[in-house]
Amino acid sequence: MISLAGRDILHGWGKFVLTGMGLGLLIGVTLSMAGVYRGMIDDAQALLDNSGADLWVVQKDTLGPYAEPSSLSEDAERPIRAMAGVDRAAGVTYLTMQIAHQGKDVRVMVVGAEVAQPGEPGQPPHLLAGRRIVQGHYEAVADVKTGFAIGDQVKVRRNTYRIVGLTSRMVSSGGDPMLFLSLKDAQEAQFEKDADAIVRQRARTTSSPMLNPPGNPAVAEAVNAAQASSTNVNAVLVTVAPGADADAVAATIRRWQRVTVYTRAQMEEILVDKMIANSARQIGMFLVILAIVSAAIVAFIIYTMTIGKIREIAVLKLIGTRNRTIAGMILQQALGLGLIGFAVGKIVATFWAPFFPKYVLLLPADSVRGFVAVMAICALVSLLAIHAALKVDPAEAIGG
Amino acid sequence: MRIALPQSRRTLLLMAVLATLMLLLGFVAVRSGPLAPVKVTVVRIEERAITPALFGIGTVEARFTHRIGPTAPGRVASLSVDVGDRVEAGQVLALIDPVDLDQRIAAASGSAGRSAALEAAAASQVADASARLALARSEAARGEELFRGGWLTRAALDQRQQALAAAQAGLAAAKANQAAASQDRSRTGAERAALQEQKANLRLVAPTAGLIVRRLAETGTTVVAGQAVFEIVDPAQLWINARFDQTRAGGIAAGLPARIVLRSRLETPLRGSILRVEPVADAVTEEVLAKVSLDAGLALPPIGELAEVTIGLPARGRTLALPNAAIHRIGSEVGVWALRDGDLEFVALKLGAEDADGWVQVLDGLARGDQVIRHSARPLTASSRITVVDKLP
Amino acid sequence: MAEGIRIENLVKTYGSGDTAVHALRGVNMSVAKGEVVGLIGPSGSGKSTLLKCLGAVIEPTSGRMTIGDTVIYDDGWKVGDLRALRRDLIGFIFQAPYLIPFLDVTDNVALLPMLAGKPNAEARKEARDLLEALDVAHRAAAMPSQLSGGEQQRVAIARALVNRPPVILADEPTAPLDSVRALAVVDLLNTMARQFETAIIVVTHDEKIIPTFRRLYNIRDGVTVQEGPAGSHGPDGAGKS
Repeated sequence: MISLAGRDILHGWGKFVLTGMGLGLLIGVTLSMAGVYRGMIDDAQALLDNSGADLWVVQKDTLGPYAEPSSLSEDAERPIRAMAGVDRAAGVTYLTMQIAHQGKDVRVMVVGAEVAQPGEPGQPPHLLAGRRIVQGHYEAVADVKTGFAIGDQVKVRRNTYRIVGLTSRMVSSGGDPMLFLSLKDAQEAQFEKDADAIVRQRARTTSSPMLNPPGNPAVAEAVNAAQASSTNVNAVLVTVAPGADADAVAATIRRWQRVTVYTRAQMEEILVDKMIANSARQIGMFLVILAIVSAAIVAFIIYTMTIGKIREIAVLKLIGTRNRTIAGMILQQALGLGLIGFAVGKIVATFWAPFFPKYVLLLPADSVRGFVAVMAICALVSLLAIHAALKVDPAEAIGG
Repeated sequence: MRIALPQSRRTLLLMAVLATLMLLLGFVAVRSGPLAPVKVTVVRIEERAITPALFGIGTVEARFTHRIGPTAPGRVASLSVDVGDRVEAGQVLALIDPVDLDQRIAAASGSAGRSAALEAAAASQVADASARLALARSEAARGEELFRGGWLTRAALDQRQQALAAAQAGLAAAKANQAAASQDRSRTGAERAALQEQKANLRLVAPTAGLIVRRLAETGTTVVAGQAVFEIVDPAQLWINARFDQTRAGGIAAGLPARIVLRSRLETPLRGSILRVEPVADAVTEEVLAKVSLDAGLALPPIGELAEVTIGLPARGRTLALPNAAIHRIGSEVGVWALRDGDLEFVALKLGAEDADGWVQVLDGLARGDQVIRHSARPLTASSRITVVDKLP
Repeated sequence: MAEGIRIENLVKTYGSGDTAVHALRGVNMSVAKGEVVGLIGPSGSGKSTLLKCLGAVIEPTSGRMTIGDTVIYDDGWKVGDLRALRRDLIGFIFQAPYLIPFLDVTDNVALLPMLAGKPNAEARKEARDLLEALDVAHRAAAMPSQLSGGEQQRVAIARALVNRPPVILADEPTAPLDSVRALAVVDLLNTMARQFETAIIVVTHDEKIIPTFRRLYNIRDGVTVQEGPAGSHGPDGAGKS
């Protein structure tokens, strides 16, 4: 038996491959869009995974620390640490800010984590290069997406920090890369005012007769000192002891510490369902449209390919070729086109994914789904072309 | 199927394109995304001299700060020095307006003069009484002789003896009077001296040679007792009030060498040593406090400047060590991912001191020559596939 | 000579009632194997309809047609699979060669036996033999687009012959050719008809070649008129073979 489809492809293989590649680029865009969607969700998941926490203790009645501002006193962790079922508890601060670096502005999320012991919740779980923070101050570990290199000096608010380590996939739910500082440094960055503000605050304090009573200058000094203190954290990350039930521990903390506690599942709901739901749906919508457009283009390509061969098909039919053979030819070509398109799409999507500013996650399962979808769409739209081919009157070849 | 020649070339070309495509596809499917092996770097456990270091920050402070102010309320009359001036011990820095002090001194002087006059009067009264007594005594003696000779009546003798007793009492009274006057004089004298002393205190005088660092009141300001007008420090006597994280501060002791980096001179670290570790730590910031002195002969930094202090703790000798980037916590165990026969295995460790470059002493759990994962492109699990590379990323 | 194709009283009516168009009104025709006949007729005479009926592309309304011993139609009855019938019993030659552009010359010829299930090697061998016979064997590996018009036409003839059909229908095979080439094609068809024992019906209105036919069917108003060899194609003289 001779493969008509194969021979046809072989005859015009350059055109066929180029068409397949064009289609592939479109499929690549579609796969990338799916990757962007997955990436958004994965960013949120990564944020939770990388914090290493089972429970998030935040200011009462807030959705903090990622979705809403939350503030707790730093020593809130101490009573929590003493509770049954709690393994570790560590304060953490999050602050999204812009950092000037080598003439460019880099948007980062500054994370303050307890650095004294490795593996405390909030620390980066793995490093790409360099080392963990050793000194309690002025050292930082940066996500590689910040563009910082080891040894770089970056200025966060009033202090300069040296990059000692690099990590990866440490991003905020908005995709901003993280910069890890020691908790105290980060508190300073978050809560301490800039020098001008402090000077103005001091002037205000001095001019207020209540805060600066005549004859007792010590009061104003005390007030200034009190205003400059910064011992708050945004959340306390808690890991539960092995075997303990996270929900039960959360309930206990909630009851006795009068704070709001979220479990992993609740946090995921906040991040995925509340924070990124709209943008994700936006991308999902776009993905659907892209898929429809891709399908339409595949349909057009295959239909045009078939229509271009209508005389040959008429001849084939006249000299006795079975409909099955002709349909098979069209279907095989459509699937071949889909195959090349998918392969090209997958390859280009993989190669251009790292250049996206935000994370693009190409899941193998998505690729398989994409492959099945491409093949199904190709098969489906080839029906249109097959229908057209079968409608061709063999009499067209003779005289008619 | 046998293929005619020109087609076979096309076939070869197409096959080449397709094969390239499939190879690339296979490559990206296996080498990228979640299925790809995790790139890691490994480090071999070696012995290393660990010099644990302790890092703290502090501010430059003066060792002694003299706050000079009046002991009594007053109004600042004049200031003779300004911030930045160097002063000698005993130099007058400011005068406080005495208000009515001079008048009170004058009044005290007046009453002292009166007391002296009264004392002089009392002394002359004593002399008078003494003269009267001598006269009365001689008259009484002569009266007795005359009585024995019968020349005098008894009554006349009694009269003379009574006059003698009266003169004696008069002297005693005059003496008492004199003592009282004398005491009064010394009281008023002391009062005047006190006022004069107070006046001296309105002159603010430098207790020691030093540098004026703050001037807290200006002419005309009314200051309360004890309120500082000037702050004087001895610029030769500076130290750094440093704070160290409690969790790492074990082993800190007086006398340890310190490397001090001032904010204004990042490139030229200074040398110093721990002068004393404060017995009271800061419970709020969870930090240990220590005073670090700068070695002599160094240019002095501005007071209040931020300084980074690195304390070299005693070296631990050569010991097995690994970089802290390799350390992970799984559950409640701290350990490393060891590479054993190409497989990953989490090995729990007992760790010791850590130095400033991030090398951590291994007390137990690994042997020399063991390979452990140092860096990884993603977090690892026991089932991760890995590719060892020289360098990430 | 054995009979190649015979039609008797073939009627084809399009539509029905008042609007009915009677394209064929009882055509009779018979061509022996090895014989080449011409079929001429002006436009609208029913020539195309007859060709389609002969080619088993459309069914006649009534009448009978046999190819060799096989009855194709018989008054409303027809053979089940016209497509297989076309493949096995009828060869087609068109005005243009209509070769399949993506198959080389050999495979263009070998396609039919291949589609019929013959092993590829065998089909190709047959094809090459035929190409040899038609003097285009040297172009066996070329693609149709690389051939000259005459070569293409020969390949088309080879394709029509490959299944050794009892009958070949040639639809204006010489239309684009000059008279020398046109006569050569007719010559070739005659040779092939004899060599392969096949009946060839050449539909044409090409004045150059009409005189060469020994027998000529003239169709007019849905009825055939047989004419003698090399005769003038006058309108009258209904005759039967």
